[in-house]
Amino acid sequence: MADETPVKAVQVKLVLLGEAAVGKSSLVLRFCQGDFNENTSPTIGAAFLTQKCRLENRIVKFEIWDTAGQERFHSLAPMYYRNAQAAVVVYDITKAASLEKAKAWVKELQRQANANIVIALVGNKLDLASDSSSTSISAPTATETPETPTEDEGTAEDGDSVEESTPTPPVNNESDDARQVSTAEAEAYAKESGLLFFEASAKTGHNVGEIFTEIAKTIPFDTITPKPAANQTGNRRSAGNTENNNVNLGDGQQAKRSGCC
Amino acid sequence: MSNPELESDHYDVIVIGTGLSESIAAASLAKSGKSVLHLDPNEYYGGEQASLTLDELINWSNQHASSSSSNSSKYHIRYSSSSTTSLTEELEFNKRRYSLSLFPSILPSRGQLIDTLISSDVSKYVSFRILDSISLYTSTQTEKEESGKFRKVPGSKEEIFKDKSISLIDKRKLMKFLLFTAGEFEQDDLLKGKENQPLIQFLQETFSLSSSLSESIIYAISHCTSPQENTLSALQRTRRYLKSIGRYGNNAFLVGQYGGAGEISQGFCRACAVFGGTYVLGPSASLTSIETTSEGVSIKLPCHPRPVTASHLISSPNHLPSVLIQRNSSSYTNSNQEEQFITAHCVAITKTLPAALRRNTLDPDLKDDNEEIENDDTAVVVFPREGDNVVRCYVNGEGTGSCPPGQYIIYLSTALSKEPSNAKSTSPSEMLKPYLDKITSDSIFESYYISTRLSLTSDIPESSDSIIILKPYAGDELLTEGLDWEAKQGEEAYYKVIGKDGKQFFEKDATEEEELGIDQDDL
Repeated sequence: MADETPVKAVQVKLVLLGEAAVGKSSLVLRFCQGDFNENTSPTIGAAFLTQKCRLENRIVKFEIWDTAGQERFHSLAPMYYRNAQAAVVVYDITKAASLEKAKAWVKELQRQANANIVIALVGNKLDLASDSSSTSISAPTATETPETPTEDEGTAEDGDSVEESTPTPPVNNESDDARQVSTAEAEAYAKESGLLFFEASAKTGHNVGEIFTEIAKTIPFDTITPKPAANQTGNRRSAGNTENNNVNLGDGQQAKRSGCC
Repeated sequence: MSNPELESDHYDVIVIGTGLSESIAAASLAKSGKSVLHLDPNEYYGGEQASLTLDELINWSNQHASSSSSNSSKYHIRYSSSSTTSLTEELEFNKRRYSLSLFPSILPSRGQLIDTLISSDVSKYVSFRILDSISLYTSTQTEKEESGKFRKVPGSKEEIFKDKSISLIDKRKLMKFLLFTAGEFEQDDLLKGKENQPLIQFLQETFSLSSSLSESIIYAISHCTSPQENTLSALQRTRRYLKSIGRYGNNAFLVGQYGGAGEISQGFCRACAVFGGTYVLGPSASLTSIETTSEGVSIKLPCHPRPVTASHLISSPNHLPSVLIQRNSSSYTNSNQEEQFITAHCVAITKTLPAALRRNTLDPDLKDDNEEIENDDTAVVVFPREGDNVVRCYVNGEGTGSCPPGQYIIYLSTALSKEPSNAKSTSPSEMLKPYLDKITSDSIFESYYISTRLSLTSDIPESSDSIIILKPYAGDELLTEGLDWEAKQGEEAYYKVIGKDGKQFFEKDATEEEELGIDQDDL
């Protein structure tokens, strides 16, 4: 973790997973554009969105991949998981079944993705729970001012703040509370599986930025982006090292048109 | 978890198979605003172009172990005589880290697929590298043993000038030929009347090229299967390769990462999904019935309780029930009209650097720059054979992301004589193992199979406009021609649905750059 004076953006591929209609795209739109659209149609039109996240000593540029509906029939291509360094698995706190689905996606990630992928479990639609203000504590408190980017503490921190949250029983009697998944239940699962955990609302924007900041802080950058010096030796070839070796096809249009002779 | 049913009983287009041409057709149609249902009865993406993990390849191989392919004669691509060695503990542990291609191929830097990748923006999520080298194997026979060496064929004008093994006079002849081939030679007097000559005769008589230079041109620049190939078609292909040099680097060809063709197919499928296409893979996507109607087609699927209708159905012939193909193509069943292309294949893995990938440490130019010389990560090696078709070898190292670090995947293939009697006489391993041994002496995995491709020389007469059958590549130059062929089929299918006057293939909307271009690089 040597100090590199010029702050360089590190690119991170982040994949979204979760049952249809839990608000995957809404979370990303809120994060990337600060927008919420009540009637977001199923994701159409963008291959991926990008958004930068500024930490103290680095800038993380998220390349966020949406499932584009390919999750519905379990037909996500291996390409989707390829080189993903982070994943956000979303469920809907008002639908108990969506947490079960999220657990299945976590399993799939553990099977298909990089071993050191950072996974965040996110309960969306917190605005629909009557206790929405109190549950927000479950997010790590340090996120508001990202001054101490400690890569290795991320998951441990989550567990510490559990007791402050007031879990709502799955069966509720208040008519305006649609919550079906208690904070405690989801958080216990996240802790046991080594996931970051948040409850958030794409609608109000509550806790959305924190998800991405915390992921950025948790990613073990030193293992995925070799130092420039290392590139000259063994690492030049490695498939993930795209900067030096991969061809940017689009460049060809401007590239010299000369053929062989 | 119960399986959801489809969102609709009707789609504009149903596409069956996730091979490259089908995926390109699906993505372009979704992009143009059509609703697309894309099905593949396989559990994996890519169809005939799939890139498989090691365990998937073994399953695939077990399904094609039979040596007779008569029971599946309805297929336009058949695989047979398949075998693999068993997995060591280490391979078993790493089996998912491999992307082994059923369609090993390199991509010319100019051509249909490159254009399509760029215009569709799929180039943003599929990655390529420049092919590191093309070598020719020359055997030298002594009294007792046969040995040989690999000679790198210069890929560009600069490399030809630097190559000290070519005499000055030969360099001049070679440049003259390359200049001729890169130009509009069709009307050139040098070619008049010799269009159908064997290429080797044309090179040696018209350009007085030595036999060694002719060999280099035939196998390593023109990528011919045999020196007898007809001059005109070989020159036309060569021109495309020559024009590809310099676009992205000193080699005409690109190597797709993570298994190449299969990954590119997945990229187009993702593009289709992004534009609203629906994807179902596996048994629930396997048609239980299909019929043509006055409005198009109607199919039944395990994943949907009601019939699904569409105005058009696009499919590779292998995925359609034989009944339909036969009804659609009465002339096709007359086997006299088909041409067969039979190829023996080998896929092997090694943990030691193949000699053909070693860079020449004696080259003073290289020695000055780097104290440590970088060896090639990808290579094409050709083994010319006296009186027989060439054996081609294609090596992918760790930089392609298709195997664990320090390993190499070796693909070997050779086109078999078209006489069926000869084809049956030897097994693919007997044919290719001697060449694998020349590449590496210690492979940790070997797999062999035979593929038989039937050409659909005359278009399949389609009884109904609503069914579009994509033609699989039928030829012996799959390594360099297969990918562009697939792209061409995909585009043709697009226009059959849209019509010539409709939206252009992957036409961009005016506002599109704004919608997609959220990436403002302010750093």
